Amino acid sequence: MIAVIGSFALIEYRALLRARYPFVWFLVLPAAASAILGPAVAGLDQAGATGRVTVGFGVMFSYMTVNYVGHAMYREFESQAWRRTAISDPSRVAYLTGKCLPVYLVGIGQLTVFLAIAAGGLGLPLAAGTLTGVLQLAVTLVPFAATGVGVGMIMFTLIRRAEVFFSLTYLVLVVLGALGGAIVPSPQLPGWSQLVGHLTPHYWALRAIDEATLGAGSWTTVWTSSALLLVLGAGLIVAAAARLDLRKERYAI
Amino acid sequence: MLTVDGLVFRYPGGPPVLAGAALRLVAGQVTGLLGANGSGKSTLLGAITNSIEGGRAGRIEIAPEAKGPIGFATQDIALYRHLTVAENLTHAARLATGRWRVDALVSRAIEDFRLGRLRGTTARSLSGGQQRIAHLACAFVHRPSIRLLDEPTTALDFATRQLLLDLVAAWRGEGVATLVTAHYPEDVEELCSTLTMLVDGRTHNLGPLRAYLDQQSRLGHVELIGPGGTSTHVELHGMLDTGDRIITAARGAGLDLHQQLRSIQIKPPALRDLLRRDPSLRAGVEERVG
Repeated sequence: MIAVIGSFALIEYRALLRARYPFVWFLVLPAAASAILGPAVAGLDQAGATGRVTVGFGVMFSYMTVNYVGHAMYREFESQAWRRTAISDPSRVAYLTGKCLPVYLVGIGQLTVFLAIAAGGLGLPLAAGTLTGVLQLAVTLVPFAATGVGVGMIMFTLIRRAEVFFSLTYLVLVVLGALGGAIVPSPQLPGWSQLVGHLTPHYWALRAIDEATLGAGSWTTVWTSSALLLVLGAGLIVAAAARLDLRKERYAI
Repeated sequence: MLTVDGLVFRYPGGPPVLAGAALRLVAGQVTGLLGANGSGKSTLLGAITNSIEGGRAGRIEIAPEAKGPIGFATQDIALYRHLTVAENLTHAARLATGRWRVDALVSRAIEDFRLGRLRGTTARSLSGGQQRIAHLACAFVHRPSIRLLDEPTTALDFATRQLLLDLVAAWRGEGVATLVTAHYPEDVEELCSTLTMLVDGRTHNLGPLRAYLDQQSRLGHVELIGPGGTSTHVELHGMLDTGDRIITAARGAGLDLHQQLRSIQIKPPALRDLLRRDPSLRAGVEERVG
């Protein structure tokens, strides 16, 4: 099992490393968007507003993990290696873990970079102090990044054609990000958007992040949000593992 | 090594592609599977390896002494384009064996398939023939006892094709049970020791290829050389294993043997001629040899 996880993880790590362009999506684009639009887009003028907007775009574009989970999964079909994989019949958990672990770590890394820049350079405060604040952010972003991977996995099991999958990932990125308060904070959104926003992982992640930064630093809010994200992420991954059939042919671009 | 009996397969929502296929792969033998496009050759291999989605019924039995998962070199080249040849081989070996340390298997495959010069080259930089060989090496890197090759000679140049022929010949000596699908009878003649035809989802096991050719060669294709050295090709029918039978058949064909016949040459036919002649198998190859 470890060999299978490690082997697939190494393939995906090398793909990300040799492609390089993923970092444009994960880092350059959200940085550019937050720099160009600034705090005005969020309707914020308080201290740390620039940092909050930067984190918002970071959270939104962290969902490029959905897209890159697709790249990892459809790579088997692009390379035509899926039949060989199916014959070896690896455990579905090992297969999914290996395939998606590098993307998951990139997602965590991207969120860490944006939170570090916002807190370190753009004046975003840590309400409960540095150590506690860092811990609160850590327990939020770890399950949140897992929800992105989970969404990508479940979409893969439902969508046969890569072009359909990738088109939908951009829709997911923008719609979930906007509804969840990544561009404009949730309280400033229209009523219906606020209501529907509760269904997005972004809302719960930003609820915890806002509490740890601009809020009172309460562990209760952070724990409830991250627990919900954990349940959602784990649920999506378990459902994807249950649905996955390695013999099912899919069509890469 | 592998026994398939009464295998029925249908893709989801489709009609049966295989309708009771039967096959037996024996250690040290190379079985040729011949059939036209769409006859179900690739489906048969996919159904045997359980690597395609669909409804499968029938018996597939693998001998307990068979090593490793079945090695299957698909018709499409299966290589991760961004990985080097050695990295592709390493992944294939780890996947098949479930072990992390596979250096010995990878080195052996690089040696067997003569990939030494290319081990550090990314798959996307290889030529078509080199990709095909690297693909075969990945499929069989774990040295399985049962090896399936789907149209392995596609797009191979002469030298690479010869390498493939040499490898398959070596596998016979190693006791590997091999199945090769092909469009062209020539490929089967060169690679295989036994022959199976697939027509309309059903297999026709023709047995050992050499015996089939020997038997069929006595059924006709005689060249009669006349007094002036002119030759007449005559298809004679019936068993022609003795002079009497040939003379009888020639008379039956309306030839004046005293006037015309100077010598008789029985020409061993090529597999393509025999398959063209056999009405029960014609459908399987006429698209290609017709």
